[in-house]
Amino acid sequence: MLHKIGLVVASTFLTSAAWAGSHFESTLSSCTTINCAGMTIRGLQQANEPFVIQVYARAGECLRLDVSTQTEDTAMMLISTTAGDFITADDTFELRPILGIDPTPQTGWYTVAISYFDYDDRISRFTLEYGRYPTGSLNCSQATAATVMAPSQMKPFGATSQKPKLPAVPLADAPGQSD
Amino acid sequence: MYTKAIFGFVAASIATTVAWAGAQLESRLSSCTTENCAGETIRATHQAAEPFVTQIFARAGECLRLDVTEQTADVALVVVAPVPPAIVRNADRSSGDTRPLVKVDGLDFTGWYTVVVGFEDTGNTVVRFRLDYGRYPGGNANCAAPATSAVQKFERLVGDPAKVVAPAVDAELDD
Repeated sequence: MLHKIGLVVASTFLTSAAWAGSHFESTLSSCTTINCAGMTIRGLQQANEPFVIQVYARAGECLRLDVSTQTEDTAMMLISTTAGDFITADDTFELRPILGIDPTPQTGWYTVAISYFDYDDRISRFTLEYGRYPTGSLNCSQATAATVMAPSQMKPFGATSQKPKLPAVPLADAPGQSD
Repeated sequence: MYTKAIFGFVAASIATTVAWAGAQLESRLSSCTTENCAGETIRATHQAAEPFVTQIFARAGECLRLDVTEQTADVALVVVAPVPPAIVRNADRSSGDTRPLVKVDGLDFTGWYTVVVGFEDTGNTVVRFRLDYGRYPGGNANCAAPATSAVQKFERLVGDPAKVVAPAVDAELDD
């Protein structure tokens, strides 16, 4: 019996993905101080391995992602739920990247990547503040309490993200995928 | 007692397992020259409003090919370099063929590339697809320029490599 349990333990470890982060979902808050009522995520970027997580937001909100402390000069990238829009940040306030998206274009999971801003083997430790606020919140118009920041807009990768979409097909194996 | 402890450990391990759509994958370098040869075939799903995300490894100078060979709806493919502000994206490999294909020859960076595959529209559509991931020596036929578009390169969006930077520190963040 114990042997079987040991196998379960081993398989649990073997199937654990080696991700730097996970899915995070902060609650919407109408508070009005910088980074209020959000989530504080302490992250680590390994050498040449960006820290990657997915965060949730609904369309029409203010989404704030603020690297509030860092041991190295980091940069941040945000990719929309459709993989069609993106935005980047570097040195928004001093050497810290800060994004204040207002309004967010889609409802769903946004992919966040953070790493040292240049190609280098160094390791970066940082604190990421992630908050969701109603559109118009000062969290998307202030970098810090004393510094104004223009709200950011995600931009499309190219014309293809605006093309007409074909209707989705029923969920089934793609050709050649059936077992 | 011992059994209970093990069960508790298993439960805790499962509870802390992250719910990622993918994991870190490392294909082997191969000098074969047929299309998508000797790579890894990944069968995956884009959940509703939740792109598939994984990290794959490649070395500087190699040819990296990421090919969505099958899809149940129109997806786009974004690849982020180990330096996140550098990206490459493709939605349609050619006119009339909406499957994305990224092939970058002479990679600039060694490390982990973040791959994002997402449905090209909003809504609760679930998409299943097959992604072929291969690493080849620079100049391999798997990275030959497509007839309808230019050779793909990573575009650096922000970050000035010429910026004066401080030496790396070994510091703890303040609590």
